[in-house]
Amino acid sequence: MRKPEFIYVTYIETTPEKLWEALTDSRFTRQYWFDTEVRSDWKVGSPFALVMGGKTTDTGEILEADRPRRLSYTFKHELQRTCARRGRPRSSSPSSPLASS
Amino acid sequence: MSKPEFVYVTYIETTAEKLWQALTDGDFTERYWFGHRLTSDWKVGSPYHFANQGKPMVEGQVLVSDPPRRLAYTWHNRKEEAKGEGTSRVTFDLEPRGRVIKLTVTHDELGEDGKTLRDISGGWPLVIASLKSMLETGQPLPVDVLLQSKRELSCA
Repeated sequence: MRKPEFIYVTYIETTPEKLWEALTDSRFTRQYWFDTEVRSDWKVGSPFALVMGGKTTDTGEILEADRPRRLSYTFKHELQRTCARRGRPRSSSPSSPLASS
Repeated sequence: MSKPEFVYVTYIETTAEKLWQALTDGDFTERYWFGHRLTSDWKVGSPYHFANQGKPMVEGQVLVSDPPRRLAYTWHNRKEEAKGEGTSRVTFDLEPRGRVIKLTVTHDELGEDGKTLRDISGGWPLVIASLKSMLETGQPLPVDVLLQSKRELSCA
């Protein structure tokens, strides 16, 4: 049996470069991701972390970084609360060329 | 086993009344739904239809009309490529979250063969993204997004 997964699709009137920046630059993520910083050098194999109010909430490793087309990292929740997850599901953010329209 | 269904959730910075109007007024749907004009009196049991430049696209019957909270209608695709597909059901739930509305679109009672599910899974994200853009910025998505995703849009 397949593991559960979640897929969400949307369309944004922007360019792939701006969307990539918004996904990887804390100056952007703090604005729309409810004050969350993203920490990584975005190289394959490098560590990744989400930091909220100085506290690391999630950690992972960069799996793919094909700027500005596809970004993928492992994702493990670090705070043992209601949304603690088991294992290391992949979180992938393909930025479609359609976004450039 | 339960029948296939499609659920899409988004958050739109608008009021429930404006979102309701955008979902039910043909002048609005024509703008963000890539030319699809919606017509109905929105009474439970009444018919509705979508037409694009006068050509019938989708039609059905109003099942629930509880403004500005819940709207549901049956969905029968009239397009040639959808011939033989059965009637499914679309429900819109509008829930205020502060100054934002949580919109949940549920498309269920889909056929077991999965064809309608595949088609509408491509279409709803385009339509709802365009709706969100229009309500938040005043402009729907540019129509070239549709030309470049024709295959995905074959049914919604």
